[in-house]
Amino acid sequence: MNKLIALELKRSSLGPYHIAAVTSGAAVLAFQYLLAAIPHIDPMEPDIEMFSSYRHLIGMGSIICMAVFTVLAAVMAARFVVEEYTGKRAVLAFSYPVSRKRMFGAKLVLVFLYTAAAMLLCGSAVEGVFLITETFFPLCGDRLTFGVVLGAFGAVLCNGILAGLLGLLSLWAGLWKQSVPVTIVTAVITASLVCQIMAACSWIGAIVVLGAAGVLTAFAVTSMMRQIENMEV
Amino acid sequence: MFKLLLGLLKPSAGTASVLGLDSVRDNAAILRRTGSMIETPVFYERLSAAENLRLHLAYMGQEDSDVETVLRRVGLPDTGKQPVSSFSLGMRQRLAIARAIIHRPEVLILDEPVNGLDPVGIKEMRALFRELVEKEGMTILLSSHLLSEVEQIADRIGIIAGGTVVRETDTEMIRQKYPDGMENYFMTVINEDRTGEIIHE
Repeated sequence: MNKLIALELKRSSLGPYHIAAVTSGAAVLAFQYLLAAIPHIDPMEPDIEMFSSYRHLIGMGSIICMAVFTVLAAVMAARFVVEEYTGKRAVLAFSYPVSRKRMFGAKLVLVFLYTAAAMLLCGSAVEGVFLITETFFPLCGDRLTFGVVLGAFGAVLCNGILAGLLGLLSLWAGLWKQSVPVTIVTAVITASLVCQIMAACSWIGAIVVLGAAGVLTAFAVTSMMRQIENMEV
Repeated sequence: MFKLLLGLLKPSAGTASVLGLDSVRDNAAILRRTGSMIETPVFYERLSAAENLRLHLAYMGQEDSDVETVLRRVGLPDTGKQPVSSFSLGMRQRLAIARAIIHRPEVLILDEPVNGLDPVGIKEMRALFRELVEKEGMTILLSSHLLSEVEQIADRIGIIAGGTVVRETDTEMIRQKYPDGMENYFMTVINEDRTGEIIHE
């Protein structure tokens, strides 16, 4: 599997995804500062309490980050999987004496690990920078504790895994329709829905959502494996 | 038919075999021992010709053989780091042939192998195919609509009409019976097939 992943990396450049991940991280950081500044910009804002608590600010930033990285995962999955198994490219993919399931599995592992790792790194950097600046020049009136820091990195980890899983779920629809736009549109819709649910969830609720996404993705992967195994080109 | 042999399509009835191996059950073994070029060749566009071949070898589970020699054999000696995306149709065709032969297969399956090649390229490929058969003991199964081309390359010719191999004969025998060329033979076989169909109906 490691060799197949290495070969995937040789033939496709990850450069554009690195740039997209860093840009997304910067945009989320800017957005988080904007949210934290709302009580200063508009003190009459009715939901001011929401923007005055680290738990809510970090939660919102992390959820938005998850949505962005879900779409990134879908774009990557579309490029690495949907395009590879559509039309004439599929002839090339099936011309090697390598198990179709293993080759497909390598692509999925790559997409999932890259998304989760990129979100973890960028999300940690975003929350790290935000919390460091909050230590010296606080925008938020809330008290910064060790629990807040721990919660921030916990949220990033949880949402990073969720972004990878949702990317693979979107791929399920995209591969079924053999369409790149379907993969990306599904990711946007799925991310929007999960964002709404996660925003209203407690920690336990978030873990339940993560578990449900895991089960659904496992089912989706099994179904996609079957599709690839029986695919004729 | 080529897709059936390579396991890209599964037979709806009956079986297909290559080198005595079943096309579905022993697909991986067949792919390891055959080289193929089917439909318009597809490559990793941002990579060079040599990188494409090295990647192919890695997927075939083979050591890095002499990529430069193979590129020279197909007439692509100085492509260097030039990405495949900038290759002409003829260069892509040559690279596809290089990819089909680089892992030294026992059987070579080629679909319209001289498509897009200029007369010089066609002549060079013809010589290469002969060399592969005579010096390296490869068996080549190729399809083409260019009758004169087939006549010059093949030892044995089969004609497919309506999805069925209607006739298979040694080229030498055809030459003796039809000294005016392959076209007369081809038209005779096709007309006989059509007449047979009409009588059957």
